Amino acid sequence: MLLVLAHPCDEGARFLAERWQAQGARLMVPRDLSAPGWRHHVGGGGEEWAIASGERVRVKDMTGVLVRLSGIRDQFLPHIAAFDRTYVAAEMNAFLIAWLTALTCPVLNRPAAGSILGPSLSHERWLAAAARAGLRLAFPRHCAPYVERPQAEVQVTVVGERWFGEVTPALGDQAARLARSVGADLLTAHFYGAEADAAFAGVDLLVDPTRAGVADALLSRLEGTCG
Amino acid sequence: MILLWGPPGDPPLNAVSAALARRRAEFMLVDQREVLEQRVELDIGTPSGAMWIGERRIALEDVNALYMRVYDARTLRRVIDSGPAASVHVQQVETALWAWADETRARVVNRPAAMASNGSKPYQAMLIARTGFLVPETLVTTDPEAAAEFWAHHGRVIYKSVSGVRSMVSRLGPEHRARLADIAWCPTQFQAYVPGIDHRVHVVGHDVFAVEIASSADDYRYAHAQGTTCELRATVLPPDICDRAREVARALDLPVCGLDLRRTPDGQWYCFEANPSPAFTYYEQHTRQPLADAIAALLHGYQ
Repeated sequence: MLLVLAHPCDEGARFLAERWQAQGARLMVPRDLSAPGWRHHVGGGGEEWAIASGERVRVKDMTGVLVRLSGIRDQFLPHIAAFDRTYVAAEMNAFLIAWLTALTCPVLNRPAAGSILGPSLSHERWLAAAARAGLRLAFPRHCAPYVERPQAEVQVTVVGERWFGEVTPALGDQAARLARSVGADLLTAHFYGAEADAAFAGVDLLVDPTRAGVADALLSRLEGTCG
Repeated sequence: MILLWGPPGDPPLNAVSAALARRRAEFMLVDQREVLEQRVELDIGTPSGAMWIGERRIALEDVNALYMRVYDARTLRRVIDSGPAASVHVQQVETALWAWADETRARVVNRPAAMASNGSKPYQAMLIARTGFLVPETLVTTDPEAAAEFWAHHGRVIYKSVSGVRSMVSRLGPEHRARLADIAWCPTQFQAYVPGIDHRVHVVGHDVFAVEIASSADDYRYAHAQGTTCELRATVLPPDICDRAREVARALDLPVCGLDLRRTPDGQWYCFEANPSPAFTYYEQHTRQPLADAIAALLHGYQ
């Protein structure tokens, strides 16, 4: 069984859940964290259970999890009393970080201490990581308060060792190198141009699964059948 | 130069500041209350950059060590009164400074990325367990039946938040039975109660300072509020436990941390948590352990 952890309005997640029906894909949404049945153990044994699309599932039956949420936000929890929403959101995020980290099946991206979506880097730290990985920066001087920058219009989607985008192979390889350097399986890198020397602008940890080839690459990655 | 970052009046920040002054170390306080006058320039990929406080410039490449005790500056009265643009300013400036704190080659106590492990207690417990300490048997659940089984199995059970918010430890009692159904709304953390004597252990670089705590409260930090007492006295840990404490600090990348340990009657040691920004002055006042001096030495020694 594959799980796609996402907001219920995430069209990319719904697209994948439908496409992966044969793999038993299910959506897991924030409301599932407010349903009886979750069991997660630390420092001891016991069967692990989760809730997905309102139903109890055995964690041992899960074969992979795709994370498409950066975190649980207050506004995702209309069923929780307004006074408690911020607290409950913090509790759910903290729980998901522990739960996703403990899973033995493939999880894309693996959570980081501060984020369920993977490397929890600010824009500044993505720029620093890109510089270390040898990518050329459009604006090596970063100012705060921020200075308005032009929008970068070229995207490269990285899924494991593979990349997707209308760019030169050298630029695609740079995006894959950046992902590798921070331990991310998935990311979308933004560039000012498609040539090998195009400058790097930033990163988004969400990928567009409707882009040609991406959904199949995700599935291969989740099934552990590609590098 | 050593940079201290936080609001003046914060007891640990004041204590480290005084200790640095006693050592005649060169240091500067970045007052977090002045965040609206602050701006930052980072030269990405180099150690260079600058922080401006009004017209005053701090060259970030000259900073050898940083001690952080920062709070959410968006809650400052001045920021709230200055409107939404001020809140955006705070978020951008502090995000840049946090990024610098994570990236700089300076000694940082502690790097923000490393401090994040404390935001999820069960996540941090997993990391701590890998260092050899025992961690309490824990169930995080939305299942009232599972919670009741866990309670019945262990007899004595405590519950506490999963995140760092509202982080108070309480013991489950008969008055909670009727409310167990409420856990369906949010994953709730239950732990088997571990009997024994609490120890607060501060690791500062290679130094280990241990305090034994005598209290009957479920959470000794709130002993007075719970109508019980709390006595603290300095103690010495067995060498292997000192080593294990250092290993937790190393594994979590926290040069300074406060570990909550408990020694059971049969001599086993449990670790409950590693606090990445310990309010050590409370322990210093009760035991006279030179914690601020040790932190100052750690920062100063890096110059």
